[in-house]
Amino acid sequence: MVWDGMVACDLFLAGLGAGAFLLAIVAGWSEGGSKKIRLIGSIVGPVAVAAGALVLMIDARAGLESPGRFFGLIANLASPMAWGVICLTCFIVVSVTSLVLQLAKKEVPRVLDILGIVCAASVATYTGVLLGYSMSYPLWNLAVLPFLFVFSAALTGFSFVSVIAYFVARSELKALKFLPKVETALPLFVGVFLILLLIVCAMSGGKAGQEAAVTTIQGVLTGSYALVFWLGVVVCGIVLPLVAGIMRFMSKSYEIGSMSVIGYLGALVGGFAMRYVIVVAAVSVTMAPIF
Amino acid sequence: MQRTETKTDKRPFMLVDVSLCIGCHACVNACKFENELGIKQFNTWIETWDAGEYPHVVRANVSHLCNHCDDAPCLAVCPTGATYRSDDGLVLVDQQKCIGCKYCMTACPFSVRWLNDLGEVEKCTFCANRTSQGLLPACVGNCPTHSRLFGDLNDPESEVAKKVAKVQVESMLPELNIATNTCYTGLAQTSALLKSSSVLHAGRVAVKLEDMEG
Repeated sequence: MVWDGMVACDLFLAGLGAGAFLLAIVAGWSEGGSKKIRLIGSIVGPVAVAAGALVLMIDARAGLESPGRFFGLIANLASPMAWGVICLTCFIVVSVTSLVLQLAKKEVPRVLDILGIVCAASVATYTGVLLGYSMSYPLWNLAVLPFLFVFSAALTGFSFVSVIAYFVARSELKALKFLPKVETALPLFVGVFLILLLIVCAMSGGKAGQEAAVTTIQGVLTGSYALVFWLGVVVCGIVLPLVAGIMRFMSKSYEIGSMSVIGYLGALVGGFAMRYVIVVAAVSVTMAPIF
Repeated sequence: MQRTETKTDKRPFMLVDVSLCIGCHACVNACKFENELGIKQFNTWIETWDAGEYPHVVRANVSHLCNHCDDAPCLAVCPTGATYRSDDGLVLVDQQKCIGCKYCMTACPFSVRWLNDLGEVEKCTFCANRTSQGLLPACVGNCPTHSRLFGDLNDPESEVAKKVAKVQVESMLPELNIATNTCYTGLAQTSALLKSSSVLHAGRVAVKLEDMEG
């Protein structure tokens, strides 16, 4: 294990911010404009993404002690981390511009919204690509991880905005007719891609890759990460939001009850747990512990 | 053996003959003295285990160090360019540019990179300070059995090039196909034997036997 909970934290916050801002934009297009939800998502978006970047900077201790070195962060444009820095910067610029326009009671131009969607998608995708680029960890599969993280980003971001809206803008939340469908679909997508991730990991080629993959999956399903995985990732992150989503979808006039709140909170706990397990439980092909 | 051309037309290369290594750790200690490494800092280490089944058991000793890959995963992901390729083709780290993001450490399939006390990444340099002056890397110069050979692969008269021409040369993780410049002979043969003990990593248990048996 090279990276730890700090990086998991960054991936979680970046995803959450991207998802929150995405909901803000889409909610803004709905009838009536959902002004409060739009504002909540537009605040959460840049704040969470910036907080995630800050966590990453704190984790990069040599840079933290010589901050001038951070200016070199895009020196190698072949590095996914450099792409990430560009994505995060664009995201923060676009989302803060949108926020300022809203606070100034001005119309947010459609083109800025579309740019916002592109930036949010890039930030969420980058969190998966960052890990996927390493060939040392069979669990970090470049073909699956970006999809898993994008769906999870949407789930956590939407849930975070929704749980705030439940208390401060419940009528607006109820009025968003697409939400119950999305709340049901997102946990399903997360579940499907999580299973897919474990399957492609198990199919890793090469003797070393196979050994590392088997050790990883055992650690996740039955070993030292089993509790976090089953309770955190599966129960909190997938089952609770799925049940809450289905209950809301089946109810008359899409009622939002306490189960919805439990689903939202579960999605947040599960979203973090999933990134934590994926970062920390991955075993390298050398299987060597770091001194 | 094809390797990418370098600016100086030299190709620094190390060949480790696994069957000759007796696990004496002279290389590890010479490296520590040369590079002034702390007690938990290793640019090279030996992994040791018992291989085979009684009565045909051998002690396997496998040297680990930076592979100075032509297609180096660490070099590709370093965002700041702190990891760079020297004119000789070595993969080196400019600590003055390193922010300590550890991305290179996750990318390196051989786990040879580590963090120093300042949070900067360090690793084996093939003793660039010595080899640029025509000396051998400290580990090679101190290997009593010539298990480690070092030289210019592009010079057919070098000791290492001659041995490379004679023996079966392997990479540590050949499936990655990243053209390593630390290569082995006898590694696949040793690795194929049943592991009958835990793997020791510089004298301490790194992978337990029961974990390998699943």
